[in-house]
Amino acid sequence: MNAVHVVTHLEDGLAALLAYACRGVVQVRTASGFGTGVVWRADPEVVEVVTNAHVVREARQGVVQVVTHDRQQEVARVAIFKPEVDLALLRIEHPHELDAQAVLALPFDTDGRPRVGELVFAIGNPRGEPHVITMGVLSAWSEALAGGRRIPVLRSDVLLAPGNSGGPLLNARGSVIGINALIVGGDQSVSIPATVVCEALDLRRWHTKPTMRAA
Amino acid sequence: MVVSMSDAQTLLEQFSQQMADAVEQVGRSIVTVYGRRRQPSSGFAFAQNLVLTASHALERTRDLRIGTPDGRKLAAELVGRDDLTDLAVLRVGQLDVPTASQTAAARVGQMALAVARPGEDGLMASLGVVSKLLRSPAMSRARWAGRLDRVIQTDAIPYPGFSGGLLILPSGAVLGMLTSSLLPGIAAAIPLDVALPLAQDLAHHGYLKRGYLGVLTQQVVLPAAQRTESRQRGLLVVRVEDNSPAEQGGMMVGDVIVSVDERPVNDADDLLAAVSAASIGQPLRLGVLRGGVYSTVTVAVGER
Repeated sequence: MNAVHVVTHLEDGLAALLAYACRGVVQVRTASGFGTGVVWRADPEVVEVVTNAHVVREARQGVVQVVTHDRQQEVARVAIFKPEVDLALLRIEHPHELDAQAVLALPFDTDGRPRVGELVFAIGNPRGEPHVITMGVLSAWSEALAGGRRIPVLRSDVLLAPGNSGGPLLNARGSVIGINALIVGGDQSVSIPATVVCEALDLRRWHTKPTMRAA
Repeated sequence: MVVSMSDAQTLLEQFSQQMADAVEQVGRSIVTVYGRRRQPSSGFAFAQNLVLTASHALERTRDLRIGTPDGRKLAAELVGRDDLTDLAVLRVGQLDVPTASQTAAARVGQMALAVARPGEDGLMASLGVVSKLLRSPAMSRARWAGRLDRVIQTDAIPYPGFSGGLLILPSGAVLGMLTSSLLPGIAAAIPLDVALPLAQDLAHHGYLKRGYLGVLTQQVVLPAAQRTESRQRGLLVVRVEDNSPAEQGGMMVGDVIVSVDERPVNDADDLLAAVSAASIGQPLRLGVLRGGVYSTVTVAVGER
């Protein structure tokens, strides 16, 4: 493969990866604002979405609106709320309005330890703009103070803005390695590692291997 | 050639892992430098028991320590530093860290990773491109002009403590040493082929030898008869040091320097930049007005 081919294939790989991953990212709306969510379960009878607790803090009667990449809207209930790690799980039961086929559950990578220097991507709704993709590398494993205790966090150089909160930090395989959480990070881009997410939200049935091999 | 989408994705994954490999590999040469009260900086092993780091990040000259990739804390001794080029050399006994050796020349547009070890959290990295290659003559007002041949500008984020770390290619080849002090607010890297000879000088002498001529000058407006469009001002020689290169070359008090190697000299900075850029012993052809008549004097740059 010559250099031009390599670059073309990298571009193709990038485009395919991100087109795929966007199907697993939703906008989360409340009366007071919006953030981003990651679909981790998309069964015909139930769809579950991971987001930040601070995104749904103002949810009226524990109900928020979820908008998919193809503009479908559905009402979701806050099923788990963990402000101490800034995480929440939203559940859509019997999604009558939602074509569950249209959304895709993204695999959470809890096996591999993300490596400093590997490519990472964020998808979110910065300032309300849907499905904006930013790229960078994993900068460091670090710690941040959340709810009075120190939790491990991933630092990266991807560009995040308000509205990215709750969205995925993806690796080059399309697996979720973290949930972006601006508020714990100060000026740097910070994500809550997938291992912490799965433990906190009790995602027992998380995917054991990345599904992105099709296309 | 037909390549399936999954091949393209495999390539993307491989590329990503290759970058992580490169960070890990070059990270074996990168140490933490404890030389100021707050944020530690970085440095890298460039020879046995020698670390090159950024001079501006050393706020003290004693009680310096470094942290190795394998978690050892070692005492370091400041061997030499040069604030204009922002380079400092530390000697560390029992350093036992591989030297960063594989280098590459930077090209504008190349992807580049900034890699550093700014504290206990281990290696840090950020991604960008080679934004620009700055060459000394174009930057003659910069304090490093004439002393650093080239400087690399990058848009990779310079996290606190990144100075003294390395800018590398995704292949792992080293482009240069990072510093945040040469270009205000922007990450820069001193190419390794520029930095290492200076580092060796610092290791041997403790300072960087500077070229000099041995004249004291004062800027003057040229008499109307001597002025041309490109030549309005010159440097009046008011003193010639005894036994200096200038004296040996035949410079005299009262000469007005108007050019160096055919390039016009308007003020002392022009002359300083020309002398700094020259190597020791290199002859410079100075255009002078002596008694109103143009002539040339050749002076071999001396060192001190």
